[in-house]
Order: sequence, then structure tokens, then C-alpha cells
Amino acid sequence: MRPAPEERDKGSSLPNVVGVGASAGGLEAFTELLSHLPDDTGMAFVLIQHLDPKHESHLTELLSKASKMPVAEAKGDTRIDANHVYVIPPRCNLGISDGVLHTPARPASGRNMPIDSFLRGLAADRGSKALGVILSGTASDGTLGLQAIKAAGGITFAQEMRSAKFDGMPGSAIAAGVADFILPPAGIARQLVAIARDSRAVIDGPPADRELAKILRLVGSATGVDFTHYKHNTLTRRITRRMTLRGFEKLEDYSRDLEHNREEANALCENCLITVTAFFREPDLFAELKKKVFPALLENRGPEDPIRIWVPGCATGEEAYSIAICLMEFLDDAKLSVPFEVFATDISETAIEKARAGIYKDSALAHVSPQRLARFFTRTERGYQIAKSIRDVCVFARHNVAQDPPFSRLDLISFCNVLIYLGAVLQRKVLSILHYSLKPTGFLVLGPSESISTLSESFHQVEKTHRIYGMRRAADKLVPEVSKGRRAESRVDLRERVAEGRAGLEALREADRLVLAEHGPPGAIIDDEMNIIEVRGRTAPYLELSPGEPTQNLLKMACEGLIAGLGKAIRTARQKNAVAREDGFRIADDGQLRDVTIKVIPFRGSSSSKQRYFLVLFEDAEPNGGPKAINRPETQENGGSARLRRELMATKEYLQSIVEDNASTLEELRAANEEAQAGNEELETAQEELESANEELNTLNEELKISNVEFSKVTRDLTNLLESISIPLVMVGRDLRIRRFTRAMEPMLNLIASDVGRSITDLQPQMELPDLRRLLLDAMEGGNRKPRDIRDSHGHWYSLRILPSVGPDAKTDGAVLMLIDIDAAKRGLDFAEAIVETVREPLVILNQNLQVMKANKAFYETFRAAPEETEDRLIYDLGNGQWNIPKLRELLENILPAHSTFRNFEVTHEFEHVGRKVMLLNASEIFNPNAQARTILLAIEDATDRKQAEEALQTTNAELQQFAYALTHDLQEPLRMVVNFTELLGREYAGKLGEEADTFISYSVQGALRIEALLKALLAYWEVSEREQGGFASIDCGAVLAKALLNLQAAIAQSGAMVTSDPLPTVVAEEVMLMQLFQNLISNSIKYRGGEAPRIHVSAQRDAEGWLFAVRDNGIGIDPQDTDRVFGMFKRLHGSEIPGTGIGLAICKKVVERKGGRIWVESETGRGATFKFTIPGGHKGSGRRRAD
Amino acid sequence: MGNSGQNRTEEEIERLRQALDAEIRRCLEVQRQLDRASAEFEEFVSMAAHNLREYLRDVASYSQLMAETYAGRLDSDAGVFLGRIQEGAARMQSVLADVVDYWATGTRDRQTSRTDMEAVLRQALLYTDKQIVERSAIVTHDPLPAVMGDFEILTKIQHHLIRNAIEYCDTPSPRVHISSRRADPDWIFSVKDSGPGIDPAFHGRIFGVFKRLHGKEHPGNGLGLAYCKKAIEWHGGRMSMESTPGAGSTFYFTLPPAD
Repeated sequence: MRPAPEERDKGSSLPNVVGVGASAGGLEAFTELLSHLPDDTGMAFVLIQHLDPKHESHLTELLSKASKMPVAEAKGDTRIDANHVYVIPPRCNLGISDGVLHTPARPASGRNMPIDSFLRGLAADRGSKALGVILSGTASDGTLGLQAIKAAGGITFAQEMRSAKFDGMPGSAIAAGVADFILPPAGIARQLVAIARDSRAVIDGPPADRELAKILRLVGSATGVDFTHYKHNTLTRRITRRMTLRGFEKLEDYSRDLEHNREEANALCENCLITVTAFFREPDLFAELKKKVFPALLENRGPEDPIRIWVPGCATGEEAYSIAICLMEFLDDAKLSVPFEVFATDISETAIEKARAGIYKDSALAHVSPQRLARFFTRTERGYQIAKSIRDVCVFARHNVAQDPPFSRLDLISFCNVLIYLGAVLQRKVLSILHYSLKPTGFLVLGPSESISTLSESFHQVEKTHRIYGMRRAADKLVPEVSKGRRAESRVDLRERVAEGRAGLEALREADRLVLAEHGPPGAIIDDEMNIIEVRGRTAPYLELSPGEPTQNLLKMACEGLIAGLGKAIRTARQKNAVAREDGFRIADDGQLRDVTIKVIPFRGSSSSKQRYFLVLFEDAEPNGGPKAINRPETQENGGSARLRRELMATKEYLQSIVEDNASTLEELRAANEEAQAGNEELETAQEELESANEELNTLNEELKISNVEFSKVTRDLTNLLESISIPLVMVGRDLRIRRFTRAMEPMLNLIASDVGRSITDLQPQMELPDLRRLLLDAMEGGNRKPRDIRDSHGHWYSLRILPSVGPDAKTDGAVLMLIDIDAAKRGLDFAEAIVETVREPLVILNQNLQVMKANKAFYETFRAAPEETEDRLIYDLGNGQWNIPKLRELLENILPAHSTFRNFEVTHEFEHVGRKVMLLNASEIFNPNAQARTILLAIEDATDRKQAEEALQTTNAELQQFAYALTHDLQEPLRMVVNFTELLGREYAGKLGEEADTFISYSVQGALRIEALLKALLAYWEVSEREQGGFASIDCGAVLAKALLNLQAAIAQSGAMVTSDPLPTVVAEEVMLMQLFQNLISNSIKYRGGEAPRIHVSAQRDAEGWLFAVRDNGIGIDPQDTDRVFGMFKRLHGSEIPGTGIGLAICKKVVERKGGRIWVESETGRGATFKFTIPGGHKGSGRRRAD
Repeated sequence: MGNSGQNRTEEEIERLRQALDAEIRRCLEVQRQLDRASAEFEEFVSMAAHNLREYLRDVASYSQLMAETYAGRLDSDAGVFLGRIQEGAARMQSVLADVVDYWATGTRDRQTSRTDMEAVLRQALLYTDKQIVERSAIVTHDPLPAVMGDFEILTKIQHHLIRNAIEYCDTPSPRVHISSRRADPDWIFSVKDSGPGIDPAFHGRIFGVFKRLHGKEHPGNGLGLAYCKKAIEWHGGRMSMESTPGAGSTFYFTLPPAD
């Protein structure tokens, strides 16, 4: 009841060591932890704190204040003492061996994980006496270390995440499930104290064997795992650990608890099965595999012959996956495609489930290179998922290597770190199983501290450092003692064989037999073993049934005197394969003695059969035969004794032959026995193999069943999805053969269900799909994926989209072809586009994000923009944000949601290139059944010109009015003077200076008054015409003419002119203008009068355009050459002898032309002139009035 | 669905098209109104001036006739009356003549010929002779080139400018200097005076119609500079001025060369 010698060294003289890992925020936590620890725990504490290599550490001083124990920095090699605290020095890592701390330099490159590194060392050095604590810190350092400690039987702690300033490190450890206790620092301290106390009580001695056996039995019955032959000290450590965790001090108490605590039994079982496993745990091993083992496995291997690998005790699968990855890399490098499968088995169902899931935490992948990570793992939210290509070659099954039938014909078995847990008996058994499972060319890989020693006659070492073993050729196949199967006894039934033989002969000539029976000698046909097959003739004298069990054996049926002869004859016949004859036998027949000759003729059943038969004939000897004659002279007595002697001789010979027969039969039996035994062994082996194969098949089947369920679920989902989206869709493989299509695609491509598997290029689609083959291939090569617009035979538009479909290995394995109905959108768009281009107004089509989809030519011309700087831009971003007007924004953003429009929103903007623009904006929604495709049509009316014209008009009007006002005002003063003085003159001198003077005065006064009246009228007219733009009234031309004549009263009187007129119509015109027109023309006629008194006639007549007026005079006339020039400004044809401003006719021309009429003169020199003008338009009756 | 959307779009486009047409019509209408406003005004003013001058001539000629016929038989009052009537008529004639000149300038077709600016100046000085003598003005000039222009109009321009320069000079013996220089292709003429200069505040509107900067103390119809500018522009030239209060004013105008 003492610890094993090697454990004693480590166990009793050295204290338990608590490795504490901390990083950011860890000092605080550790300080708290220390402050709750007494100075007599008997444990040593080592703090691994992440330190900045550039700074001196003051940890020691800081911790000394909190701790009751002495605190020291580990310098050089430091022997650990109980009740001390050791602190990692900066710029170093910390390691431990044999209870001595040493300080290797930090690795120069790569991630430094000092906590993992130390804790792993601690686990290796201290085993179950190692304790690990992970306190606050970021990232995941320490998780692997805790795992190692746990695996070694130590106890692990993680700081409770809420109490940690940074929960990365403890969180990682908790998530990985490697922390036994999750507590705040003070709690950790208390638990440590408790463990320190308990461990002294329990760990002092191993549990009693009896209790241990009971525990193992309990566990075995609860879990089916038999630990009996596992190494006891390992088991003891694990049990002790469970007891410590559960708070039991005595083994008896624990085993009692175990009796009805199935969960604890399971927990203990799991605990005992803990193995430390990791991806690429020993990189060198994998290098060796690639270098030596894999090449050897590939020698003489056909492509159909898979490499079979077994990883028993695979735990959570890392090793199995590592080997699979390694082999896959190797095959890829060698450019070989040899199938392989990895059988990974473990006793623990939970471990197998984890392995099957194939999802690993980041920390578990610390040793996996980024390349491998990228190639063989997929990042998921739960961690890294092993790639499907690897997962698929690995088969996981629950399997107990020591109990269940093994796999067979394996090329490689990796059995690392399992043997160490097994006792010597079990080791040998398991190794022999492995030996049996391996092919003669197979390899076995063991863990670092395991050896083949117990079975060294069967294996030879290939690679020493990594314990790779090959099979010894000479070694016999060891038959493992695992069989429990029963096999049916095999029985050979003699009768069956006789019947079989007979069956061949039965049909033989029955007639022959009858004839022979009558006439031939009696006899019998026997087979090789002397069994009578047929009896011929009367054999009663020769054969008889002997007492006892009826038999068909000839010898047993022969009568007494014949036995020896028969035996001899048959033997002779058999040996020589020729007719044998024996004679000189005497039998008693009906009380007479007869001499009988025996004849044995060998023959074959048929030419092809090997079965030999013998025809045995009994013939009566010739009464006077030669031999008889010779024997005749002998005396009766002599004759009798001679015959007896002969019989004796024959009997002797017969006996001799029997003895010989027996010996050879014995030999044959022995050989047959051996053969049977060999056959049996073969059968057993075959059965083992079958059972192994069956096991494999079951495992595979289970896997397949699971994946089948998932697969059919996925397929169902996919089918449902595809049918429910009702998008025409077809999937093709790399060979362009159709793999699947939706019903909506059927009419498009004329598909029927049986087209699956046909090449898509063989179809006769309902639409033009030019270059389909090239498009599909392009898409699969990752090329052009731009959708194309195509139309079917009905002119319906679709957008053709081809996307590559990606297989499980991230390679393109086909393409998906989709047709999306864009008809409505397309037609709407085409239609809109066509119209947009024809409109002269700048138009912009905006999408729902207010990005410009299209602008027309007018837009680009008006705003001097280019399509490339316009299309797909937000309208607010166009041209330095000139459209970014808050009110416009609000209006535009409201259009689609509210289906609103806006009209004539006026915007004035100074454009960089175009200058100031006044615009009226109109916008409305372009309806589209697809809500996503709705667009806004924004029309921009350029009102700049109109605005400018309007402004100019206003300015001009104002200016003109001002001018008119100023003119009137300036004229008013001298006019007043003229009017006042003429009136004064009239008042003072009227009637005083004679009649002529009165006339002069009167004319002056009238002239002045007329000036005043005209000014007023003109001003009034201007003001009115200002207000009523172009408002013409219907006026009576006769009345207008009368007014004009009144104005010309002086000139008419002076010249003695006579003015007459026809009845004149009513026209639509301005009275003042028309009056002045008449006035000017009549005045002109008076001025250019000839010698006679002027006679002027005004007439009007209807013509096609309206009214044609004529003013005819009898004046000097106009040279026809000058008839055009008279209307020119300042063109006085007659110099200054005739008064006038020279603009009268020019003004007349303007007035008429602006009314849309014409004015011209018809004249000859000396014959008077007729001025004619037209006033177009309708008329209202005609005032027939005469004026003169 | 598609059809109704299409119809709606079609309607929308049609509406836009109509709106655009309406806008164009509106624009044309305004433009027409603008044209008509100017044209009507021109007709109005020309017609008015024309007829007013006819009537004035009546008034002037009959008062003249009276004065001549009854010379000696009229008392002094009547002489004064007739004198005032004639004076008023003359002033109205002058305003109306200027108005007609001003408006007529823009309406005539441009017919220019080679015109010697020195001859123009001599003619203009004839018109201002009386004023020059009265104010003891000194008018000097550099050699002047020949230009393409209308002799009569150019004379009026020169007349206006010289008269203006002397008129507004408040010192005795005003000085006016006329010079020219070539600024390819045109000639730039300048008329510089020794007057009080013009307040920059008035520079902008000095060429406007009836924009007399001073009160009634200076004669003139307020159309002189407006006429000059309009007439120069009718020639295809440009008119401008520079002035510093207290340092006189210079009027510039350009004319196309005769060669």
C-alpha cells in the first residue's frame, strides 16, 4: 500500500505545484487569490504572467505585499519549495522538470504561449500533482495547458468570467471544457486549500485492490467498458481525482456512491478515458509517415485498392483527421488518386460524437498551419469545421479494441498513447489483435512512451524515434482470441453419398439386369468402400445378413468361407485396377459343399466419374477343372488340411492387408484431420474478417443512414424551394448535362422529365439562346456573369443569368441557368427610353434610390453633361451638387412612397458651364408592376428664355413708359406756353385786326389745342395699350376718317381740298392708329398736290384677306421707279420745298404691316397716286356713312 | 398590368410634351410682346412726333404769318405773345426733332459710306459756333481718320458731344480736345473736356433717355447722350465714358475704319 517507487520520488518529496496563468487584468486577480491563501497549504505556486519584454517587472514586490508566502522571481534553475510563490521573469519562458524551474528564452518568432508551455511541462512533470489556474487575460493562452493537466490527472481552475477584467483566457478554457472549477479568485483560493487538505489524506496511498476491483466492476456494468487490465496507477490517479472533485475522502465512500450513481460511473469512465489528443501533435511523426510509410503503402497498389487505416482510441478525432489530412496532402503532392479510408474508433460515445461533428475550437488548432487551416477547415460560428473531403474518408464508430472484433486487412494502425493505459495482459492481447488486423505489409504506430516489447517477435521497428513498426514476415498469423461466434457442425451423410452414387446407375439398363439375373453368375456391385450397390442373381449361398445392425458392407455380409477370399480379391483388384480372381472356396449350399471362384472386376461409374466400382462375381468352380485334378490325388484328410491351410493362409493375408489398410487409413485420417483443422482455421479467420467487415459495414451503414436522412432533407428542401420560387431554372453539370430543372423551365426549353442527363445543348428551346454552350462554359470558368436580355418566340423578355454552381470541394462542378421575367420592366423601359429620346425637353429617369438611370439627349445638351458622369450617380451628386436643393429633395423622396407627383417646381440655379437657368421641374412615378423597378420621370423645362424675355419686357415697358412720360412732360411746358399765348392773342386781338388775322389766330389756337389733344390721346392710348395688350376693338372706319379730316381742317381749308369717301366698313383695329393712318395719307396727298385743288377719295372693298382700302388723289403722282422708296424713312422725294418730317409714309407702312396688311402705291407721274392698304381679318357689318 | 403602366407612362410623356409646347408658346408670346412693345412704342413716338410737328408747324407758321403781315400794327404785347408762341413752338420742335432722331436711328437700315471724321468735326463745329463764341471755348483736335459711317448722324453725334462738353463746363473758356487712336480693327475716338467731371454715381445712367443730371439750368432735351450711344451702336461701335470729379470727362466711341 505504498506508492510505486517512481511515483514516490515525485509524489512525496515534492509539493503540489499550482501553475497560475494570467495576462491583462491578471495581477489584480492573482493578488486577490494570494491574499486568500494561508502560508501552510503545502503547495507551491508559479505565476506565469504575460510580461512586456521591454520593461522591468515589479511583480515580485507587488505580490509580496499581498501574499503571506515568500515571493521570488524564478532565476536560472530554481528548486520548488512548498509554501512559496514563484514569478516568471521577464524576457523568459518558464519550464519545469523534476521539480526544478528553469527559464528558457522566449521563442524568437511565432506566437509565444508561455502559459500553455509551462502548464504542459507541469503536467508532464507532476502528473496528478499538477494544478492549473487560468485568470483574467485576453486570447486563449492556457487552455491547452489546462487540458494537459486535466489529462495528467491534475485539477484545473478557471476564473469565473464575470469576476475577470478580461474574460478571453478563462472563457476559452471554460468553453473547451478543461476547467474543473469555475470560481472567482477567492473561491479558487478556498478550493485550493480544501484540495491541499484532501490530497494529503487521499493521495498518500493507493486504494485497496478489493475496492478498486469493485469500482471497476461497477463502472464496467454501467458503461460496458472493462478497465480491469488498465494500468492500476493510472486508474488510481483518475479515481482519486474524481474523489477530490466530488469531495470524497475514502475510497469505500466513493465506491458506495458509485453503486447507485450511474452518472458518476459514466463520469469516471470518461475521466479514465481522457487522452490528450491534438492536431499534428507530433509534427515529426507526420513527416516520417510521409517519408517512409506512405510511399511503402503505395507500392504495388492498384487504383481500386483503398488504403485502410485504423485509429483505435481516436478520442475526439484529431489524430484521425490529422492522418487523413497528411495522407491527402501526400497523395496530392504525389499526384496520385488512391482511395483511402480511416476507421477511427473509441470506446467513448461522447468522444465519437465530437469526432463525427468535426468542429474544433480555435485553441485546438494552434498547431495547424494557416495553409492547412485554409484548405482543410471551414470557419463556422462554432469554431472550425473539418472539410467535407476529409470528413468523408473518416469513419467513426464506437468500438472497444480489446473486446470487439477488429477491422482487418489494414495498411496502417495508429495506436498512440493508448497502450500506456493498459496493463501488460491487455497490452499483449490488444497488440495481437492489431497484428492480426494488419496486412503483412502494414504498419503500426505507437505513442512516444509505448513499445512493442511484449510482441517483438511479430513486429520490427521501422522508425525508432516515432515508434513505427512493420510486420515480421516470418511471423505466424496470430489468431486472436476474440471469437464468440458459433459454427454449425458439418456432417457427411454416408447414405446421401450412396444414394448419389446409385442415382447415376439406377437408370442403367433394367432389362440387362433382369437378363443377367437369370443367366449371369450371381454377384454384387460394390463401391470403393465395399458397400453393396446392387446385387445380381441369386447370391443367397454367398451373402447373408449377419446379426446386428443391418449393413450393406459386402465383407460383413459374405458367408464365412468367403470373407478372406473376397477381401483379398477386392484388394488385389483395387491395387492393380485389374480383374482379380480367387478360387478354391467351398461353401455349403443346401447342405452340399460347393467350390466357388470369386472374380472381382473393377470399373468406373462413367467415363467422367472418378468413382470406382467393383463387380464381384461368384462362380461355381469347374468340377473337373485343372487345379481340382491336381488336388484330386490328395487324400481326404490331406485334402481337408490343405484346404484349411490355404484358408488360413488367405485369412492371414487378409488380416495383414486389414492391418495395412488400417495404418494407411489412420494416416489418411490424420492428414484429413490436419486439413480439417487448417480449413477450420481458415474459416475462423474468414469469419473474423467477415465480422470485421460486418462491423465496418454497420458503422458505414449508420453513417450513411445519418447522412441519408440529412441528404434527403436537404434534397426535399431544395426541391421545395426550387418549385416554390417558380423561376425557370436549370442546373447542368460540367459536362453540360442537365442535372435538375424547375417546372417553370419546362415550357421554355421544351423540357420533359426524361431530359435529365441529356446535354442541354441538344435541346430545342423555345427561345434563341445563342452561344449557350460558350456562356455556360464561361460561367463555369468564373468568367462573364453579366445577365443578358433575351426573348422567347412570343417576344417575351427574360434576363438570362448563368452562375457557376460550387461543389463540396469549393470547385465549380456545374452551372445554374436562370431566366428571370423582365418583360414588364423591359417593355416599360424600352418604351420609356424610346420616348425619352424623342422629347426635346431635358428628361431624367431616376431609380428608387434617386440615381440617374437614364437621361436624354436634351438633358446632356442643355446641361453640357456627359452620360458617364451622370448615369448611376445620385441626382444630388450631379454637377457639383447643383441639384441638391432641400425642397426638391423632399419632393423627390416623397414620390415613390406616396405615389405623388409635383408640377412646375421652379428652380433658379447658376450653372457652372451653362450659366443661370430658370427651370420648371415636373416629376412623377413611372409605374411598374415590380415595386422594385419603379422609377421617377423628372422633366426639366428650361424657362430661362421666357423668364429673361419676361423680365426684358417688363424693363422695356417700364422704360418706354418712363420715356413717354418724360416726353410728355418735356413737351408740356412749351406747349402750355404756346397754348396760353395763342389763346391770349385770340382774346386780345380777335376781331381787331381784320378777318385774315382772326383766321390766322384761330388756326394757331386750334393747332395748339390739337397738339394738346393729340398728346393726351397718345398718352392715353399708350397707357391703355399697356394695360390691354393687343386688345383691338371693332371700330367704324367712317367715324375714324371723320376725326382725321377734322384734324386736317386747316390744311384742307388752306389747300381747298375735297375729300370724299365710299361707305367704310367696321374693322378690328386701334382707333388712334387707324386715324393717324388716314391722316397721314390724306395729309400726304394734300402736300403733293398738283396745280388743281386736291381731290381725294377714300374707298374700301372686301378682298380675300379682309378689307382693301384705297386713298386716291389727283396730285403730282410718283415715278413708278420710286413707288417702293416712298415708304423709306427720311425719304423725301422732293427735297425740302415741301414741308414734312419724311417719316409719315414709313410710319404708315409699319402700322399696316404690323396689323398683317400690306401697303403700296399705284401711280404715274402727273396722274395722281392711289395709296392702297389692306387690313386683314373679319368684320362686323359696315357702317355705311359718307364723310366729306 | 403592363399595359396600364405603359398607358400611364404614355400619358405622362404626352403631358410633358404638351407642357413643353405650352412653355415654348409662352416664351414666344413674351418675346413677341417684347418685340411689339418696342415696335409699338417706336411707332407711337414716331407718329406722335410726326403729327405734333405738323401741328406745331401750323402754329408756328400762322404766328409767323401774323407777325409778318401785321408788323407795325401790333402792339408790343402782341409782339411778346407771338415771340413766346414761337419760342415755345421752337422748343417743342427741338424736343420732337431729337425724339424723332433718336427713334429713327434704330429703325433705319444701316447704310454707311467712307466718311472723313475731320469733315464731320468741321460740320459739327459750325452748329456749335455760336456756343463756342459765347463761352470762349477752345476746341482742339488731333488729325482724325476716315471711318465707315453716316455723315449726317456722325455730325449730330459730334455736335452733341461738343455742345455737352461746353455746356456743362463751369469755368470760363472751356477746353475740348478730340483725338483718335487705332485699336484694330476699329478706331477709338475720344472727346475730352475740362469740365467738373461727373459723379461716379451717375455713370451708369448717363446714357439713358431723358436723364438730365442737372436741373433746368442747362438746356437740352435729355436725349443727346442717349442718341449718341444708340447711333454709335447703330454704326456697330461702342460708346463709353471715363470721368473723375474735378478732372473733367472723356467720352469714347469706336467706329469701323474706312480702309
